[in-house]
Amino acid sequence: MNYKLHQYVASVFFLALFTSYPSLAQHFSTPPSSTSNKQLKTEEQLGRLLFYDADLSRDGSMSCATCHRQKYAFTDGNKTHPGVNNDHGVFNVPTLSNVGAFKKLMWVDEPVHSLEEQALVPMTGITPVEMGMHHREKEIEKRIANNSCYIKLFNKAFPNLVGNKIALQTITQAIASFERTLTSVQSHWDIKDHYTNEMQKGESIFFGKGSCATCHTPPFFTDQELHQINGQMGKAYRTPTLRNVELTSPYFHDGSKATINEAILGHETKYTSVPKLSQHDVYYLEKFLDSLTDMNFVTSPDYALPDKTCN
Amino acid sequence: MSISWQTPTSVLSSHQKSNKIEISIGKAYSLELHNKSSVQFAVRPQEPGGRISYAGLVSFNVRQVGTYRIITNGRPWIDIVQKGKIIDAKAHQHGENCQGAEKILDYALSPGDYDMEVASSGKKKIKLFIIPVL
Repeated sequence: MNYKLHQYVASVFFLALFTSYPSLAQHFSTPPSSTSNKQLKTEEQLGRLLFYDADLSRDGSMSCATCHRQKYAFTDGNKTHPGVNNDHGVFNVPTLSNVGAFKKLMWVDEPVHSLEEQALVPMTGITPVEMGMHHREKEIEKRIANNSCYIKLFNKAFPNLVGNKIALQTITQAIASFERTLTSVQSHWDIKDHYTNEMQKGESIFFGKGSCATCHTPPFFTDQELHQINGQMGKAYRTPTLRNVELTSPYFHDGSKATINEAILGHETKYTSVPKLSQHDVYYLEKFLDSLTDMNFVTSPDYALPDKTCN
Repeated sequence: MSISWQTPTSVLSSHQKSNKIEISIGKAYSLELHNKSSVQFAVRPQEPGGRISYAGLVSFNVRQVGTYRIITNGRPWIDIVQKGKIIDAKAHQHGENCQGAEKILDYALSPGDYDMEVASSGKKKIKLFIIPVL
């Protein structure tokens, strides 16, 4: 199948999914009506280039994609990720699966209300220092404005903006637009392809006696709320989505659980509605959680490192 | 870690695959890199790095099958390439408190020649050490 045809089939399939799960579409925010489809596409394309551009970090060593790697469903496989100063990260890198549908974006309650605001946290944050651009915001704009390819794209993406088009605000707006394209709704569970008996048994436990869906609520398998699920945590953290959970180890806010098995067993009955589960129950639950893997999401060229950087 | 790590041999990395710079296993190097724009990679790095970052190429030979650990005092992206294909690390860790070893990668390698593509480095010079893991 050629690439364009493949894209067409994928988009028709995606629309069909939204038709069958009407509740899914309503979760994704829509762009302002003043933004044309063509502009939005350019903004997403620009955002993808910026997402993979390490010049957004102090020494050119880290891009958004350094921590959010597609093959790990946009996590990185580490407990936490050190920043440009080699300071330890504080939290486990969350997946970006369907992040455009989420209203709450941080492990704990912080005044971050949009993907645009969130993009500034790794770039300019200091607790911890990640990309190291605190007080270097103008340097980010200067680096991008020195690139004729970016100048063209910013002009196309923001044609009606008066004044400086290459600003921190438009940079984060473009990155957020790309992040909103990161939809993952083609797992085995969604399309019932290779959906085995073991996975179905696990689904029954997940939605039944396991009470897992109380907090890991479909369609995104998170209620986006804060919960303390065991005594070790000391406080409540945001329920993570379970979409692509098979690929996003290690688990919990601090990456302290290496496997899904450990993560399931890390839910204490005293703190949650999860009852004591048998080994068989946990086995089937793991199989069900594997069914939430969306291989299209982690291999789609639409989300990957662009073939060419903006030069 | 051996004294070799404290007294590394200086090496200038290569700009391109055709100009091979060989390094040895079991010896520490202070590897000088180049501006990213001047380096031609045989295989595009998984993390290309920004325009202001540094990059370079070296080669090494493995004689015995086993796990080999690459230790650096920076956080460059490292791709090990053989016959045009990137070999994924089987483990990676953050080595912050171990005498400046900031990044530690383990690879399962069989005998043969390998290219190491160093990219996305914030430092022009990095220490680099490859050792067999017993």
